[in-house]
Amino acid sequence: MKNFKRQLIMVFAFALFAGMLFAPVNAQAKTKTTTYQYDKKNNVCSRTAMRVALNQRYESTDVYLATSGDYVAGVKTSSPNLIAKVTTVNTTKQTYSAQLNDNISVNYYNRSEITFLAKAKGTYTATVTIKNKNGKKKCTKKIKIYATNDSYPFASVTYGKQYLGYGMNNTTSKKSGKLSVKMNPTFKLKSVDVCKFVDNETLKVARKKANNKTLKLDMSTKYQFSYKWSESDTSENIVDVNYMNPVTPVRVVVYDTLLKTTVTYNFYLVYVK
Amino acid sequence: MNKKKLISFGTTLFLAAALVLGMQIQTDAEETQTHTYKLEQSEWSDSRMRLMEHTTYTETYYDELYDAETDSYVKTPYTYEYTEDSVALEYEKKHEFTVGMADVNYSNYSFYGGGGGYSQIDIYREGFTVQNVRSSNKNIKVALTATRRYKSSYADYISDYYISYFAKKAGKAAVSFDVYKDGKFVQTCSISVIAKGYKFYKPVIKNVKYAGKELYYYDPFTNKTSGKLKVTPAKGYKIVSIEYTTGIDAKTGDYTYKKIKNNGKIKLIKQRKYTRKYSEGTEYESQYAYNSLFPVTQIRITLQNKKTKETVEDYEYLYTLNRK
Repeated sequence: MKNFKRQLIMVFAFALFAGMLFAPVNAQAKTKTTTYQYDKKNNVCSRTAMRVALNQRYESTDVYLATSGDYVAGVKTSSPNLIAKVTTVNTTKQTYSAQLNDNISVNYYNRSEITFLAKAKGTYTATVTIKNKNGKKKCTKKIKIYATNDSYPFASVTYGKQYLGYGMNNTTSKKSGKLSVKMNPTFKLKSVDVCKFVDNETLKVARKKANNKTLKLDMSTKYQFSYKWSESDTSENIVDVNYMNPVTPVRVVVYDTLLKTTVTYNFYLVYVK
Repeated sequence: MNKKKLISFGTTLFLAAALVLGMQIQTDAEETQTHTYKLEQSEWSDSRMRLMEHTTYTETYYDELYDAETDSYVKTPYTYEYTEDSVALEYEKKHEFTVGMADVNYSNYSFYGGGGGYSQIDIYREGFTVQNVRSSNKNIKVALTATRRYKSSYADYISDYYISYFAKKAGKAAVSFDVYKDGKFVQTCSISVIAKGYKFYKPVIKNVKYAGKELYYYDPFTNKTSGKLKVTPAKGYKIVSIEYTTGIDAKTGDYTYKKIKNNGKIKLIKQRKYTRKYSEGTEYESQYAYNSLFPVTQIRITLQNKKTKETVEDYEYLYTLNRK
């Protein structure tokens, strides 16, 4: 009996272990890059949340209406500390199209810009009322407003003693230096990776976990890529690139804990003798 | 058939064949090509240069002409010529860029290559290549940073060359490159390049005071609808005129202005709405209706640089806070 019990425990333990090993890999949750949502039922595209920085003059967002005749009748806020108003209304007979992120694109008849001004720190709600062409209320959309000291995720990004800006070219004559990314509150750092170009627009990771470590710049930026004008094209174009001043791209991924969005920032370090 | 007849028939056949063959050889045209090159301004754009390849095709035919004197047929050459002009390559004559700038290739169609600017050389015909890119000024560096090769079932050649520029000091340079056709040198081309210093913003205004309070970019708010406006120019500048907006055109958004003396009294505008229409009456009609958060009064200050006598305009803004 003892042997049997022991065997049973072994079988269970093994099953548990095997189960964990073969458990279906949690499909990587589709990371949200903006808070825009497309309400297909009401044909409205708007943000569910946004940040409004106190030290800026004001912040705006757009509401897109894809049914002809629909309009934003008004905006109300949950506190007198948040001022909100429709400041621009762009209407068109034929639709304009907007690409809001990789997954959302909308053809709209009306784009209404709502501008916010926060007088004090806090979390507020703005309620947008949408009416149809007959003046009848169609729906309301709520936008959660986080009024904070600033909406920039980084407290500082440095390479040695030099401060780096994202999306711009930071020139340096130092071949190596300590890379340090410091975050502002409510922002979480997800990754800092040194990358290489695959083509002019695409990066691939070359070295992971580069934060708070010495970064040695790439002394050569050479790559090749090819493309065809269309799938059925029998001709192709092959591009060979060889930079005169080598570039080391650093990719930083940030998670906004308030908006629950993931945003990627690319910092480029250009080595100049 | 007897032997003799056979031989004579065979000979005739042979002679006929020889004659035909001979005629074939004689009537075959010989073709030669000669090329000349000319570097000239592009027909379609004042800012571009083009290298023209002028090809002369010479075809030589031979014909038998009866010469009475010698009572024989003499082989006489006849030449037929035709020409063709085509554009071999094109490029922009000039390029300007900023000192110290080192840009990344942002899209698959930009080729800064780590430089502050670049030029593209378009090759239109197979056989042409570019070599030996050089700069006449050692302070303006130049390099070939990308090539685009076009490959199809009937062609394979480099169709674009990208030359990048980088400078640490302002200046001018003649950037030259050599063009080769089928491995033989043909022409040297030149691009005139200017590296301009980065213009830093120099403040022209020391401060602006409205109704006793100093005006800041991040705090343009006031709840005083009228007050005195005092402008203090920066060192080296003097005030030419001070104007403020008294209204906005409801259809265009254009401001109307009124002049005042320094430290004069102004009244802030109440108006904030205006609507602009585009393609009115057509199927593409669209409209922008603006209603700003606060009425904005613009102050336009014209100043003059005491030394250079250059005039410059500075704009300041006052936002009226709602009383309620």
